[in-house]
Amino acid sequence: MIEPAATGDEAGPTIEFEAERVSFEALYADQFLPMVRLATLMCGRVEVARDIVQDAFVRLHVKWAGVDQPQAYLRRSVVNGCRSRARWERLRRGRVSSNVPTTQQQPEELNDVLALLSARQRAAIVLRFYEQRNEAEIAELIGCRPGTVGSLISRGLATMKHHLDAPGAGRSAPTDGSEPRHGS
Amino acid sequence: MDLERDLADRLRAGASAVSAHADLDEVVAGASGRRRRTRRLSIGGAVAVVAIGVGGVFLVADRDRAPVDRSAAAQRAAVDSSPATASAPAATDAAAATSPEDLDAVGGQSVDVPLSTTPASAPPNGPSDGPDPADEYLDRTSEIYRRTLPSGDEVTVRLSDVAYGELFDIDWVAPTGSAELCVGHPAAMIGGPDLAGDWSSAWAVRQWLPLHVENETHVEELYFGDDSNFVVVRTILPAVEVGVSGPGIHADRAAFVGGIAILELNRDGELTSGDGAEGPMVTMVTDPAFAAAPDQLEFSLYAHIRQTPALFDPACQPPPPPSALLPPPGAQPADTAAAEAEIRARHALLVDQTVAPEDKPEWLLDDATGVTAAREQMEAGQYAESAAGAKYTLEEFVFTDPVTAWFRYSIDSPTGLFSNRLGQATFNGEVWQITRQTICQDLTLAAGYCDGDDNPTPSLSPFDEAELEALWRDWELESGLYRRALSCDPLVFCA
Repeated sequence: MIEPAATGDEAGPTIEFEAERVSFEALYADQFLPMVRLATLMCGRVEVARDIVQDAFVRLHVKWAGVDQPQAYLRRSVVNGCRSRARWERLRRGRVSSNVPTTQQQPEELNDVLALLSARQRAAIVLRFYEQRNEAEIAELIGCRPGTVGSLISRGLATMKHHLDAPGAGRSAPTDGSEPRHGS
Repeated sequence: MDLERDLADRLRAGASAVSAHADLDEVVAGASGRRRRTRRLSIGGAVAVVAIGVGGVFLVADRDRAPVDRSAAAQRAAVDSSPATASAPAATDAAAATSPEDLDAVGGQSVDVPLSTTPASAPPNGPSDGPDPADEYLDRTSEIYRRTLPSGDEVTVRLSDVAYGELFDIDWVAPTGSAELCVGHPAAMIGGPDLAGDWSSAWAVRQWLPLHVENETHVEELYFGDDSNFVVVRTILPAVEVGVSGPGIHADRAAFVGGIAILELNRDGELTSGDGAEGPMVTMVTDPAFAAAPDQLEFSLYAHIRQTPALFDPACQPPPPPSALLPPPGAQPADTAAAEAEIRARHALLVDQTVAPEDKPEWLLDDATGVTAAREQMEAGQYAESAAGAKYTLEEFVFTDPVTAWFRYSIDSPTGLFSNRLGQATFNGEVWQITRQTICQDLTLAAGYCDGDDNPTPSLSPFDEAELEALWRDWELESGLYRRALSCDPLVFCA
């Protein structure tokens, strides 16, 4: 079983929901970077992740007075934003040639392998193995039944294992923020 | 287990390498703009604020017919729309009207519904006097669907006969064509007697957005904002019914008529944004019969897109793409105006479809190698007709030295507009000649290849490959910022 992630900046965002209300400014200062990191793992590009997180904070700011659990709201917004973004990326790739690895290409980095997953699989994988969330939490965050989470993760892992085990597959870390440009 | 541990380690390592610039002021400014829009919606809008929850939209296909191809499916949808209506009790009030050619890739059915259907009563909180702001657009639309929702709201869908961008004079220059669907397809105008759109009108204007198959039984999940109260679904399939269900959402179902259906998103209780939900998430479930041909699935939807043409900001226009960047000027010819005029004249003659190639002087080009063969190949190919109808516009000239000119031009053809193309001309001591690559890159567009079938001529650019790649990266990042800017609807949805 995976060890729980240590809290703090190095290991990812804190996962406890707020015990007491903090100011928006304090939440922004505390959660901006962890959310960008989470979003980067989910969408693969730092600059896009930052946009998504900023948008999520904007929504939270607008609804601040009515939101009981700002951190949970924020995380949900970021997860949804990443998946929404993935949808548009896929739309775009459907219309133009893509440099994202396909099964005919050899993925060279973990980020490339993550890019092979569906948006939901990728979100589930990141939430499980980066944020150490259980299936119920993941189900709530990505909006599916808990039983579906297990399937998403197992299928996602199978896809990743297939590509990471392939001869010549690279082993470097993801998130350099340098995804190839897609078409023109 | 090793994979899982390894994966966790690498995800953490990757994440720890990420840094980004925090800007709280940007958030506050964005929130301020969104509040202004929300107030405007509240004041002008009767489109209910509803629905946070999880539901499922399901599609019941016509099992008797397997989809064959899109055009055939569209034709069948048109033919079968009446039986579909009759078989779906929830949509017995649905009616469709317009000629099939008015429908954008969707079969339609003509019925006796008057084209002018501006709601009879003024929208609540909307303008009580004067014409509806949408009136000036309505005569360019045709009604394609109408339904009274379970809530009692009557909703009508009208389809514009011109592209969304044309309707609202949005000149989006994304060279990738990625915005084509957003602004290049006919807009839908959706409204009803008791509804109000985003612009204090009884109508809202929306683009059609595609959905994609996610796996064998689901198409892509839909997210609806908390200002959505119904969704318009469009399909080219011979589908008969679509529905929405799930916790917190009143079940609704509707028949497809002319490939279109409207579902109400009606949620129990008050809106509670404090539960951490961003908005309702609805899943479409297709009939497994379609699993064998998932690429046949195509839906479009109306969602909560916040767009009002009155507020479209020209500043949302992104900077010119790298393909439009001319090189900096250098030493000029003695008479630049005369040189430009000569190049224009030579180019016009070169691309003049009414003059036979053998009647054109050879010296129009600096090198005609392979051009004749490419032209013949083009004329025998599938794009011959489109090429014959192409019209060139030369837009801007730059002389990089006294004998070299670059120019930006566009080609308007029946196939589409090819903008931001760069051409080159050189002076041979006597006349200005268009370069071979200039004409060959255009022939490539129409499947004519100067260097053989497998060698399309690359587009001209004053930048080398590395420079161009860097410029594209910068442009995409910058234009992406424009797209995502909250005040730049509808481009925020144009991926």
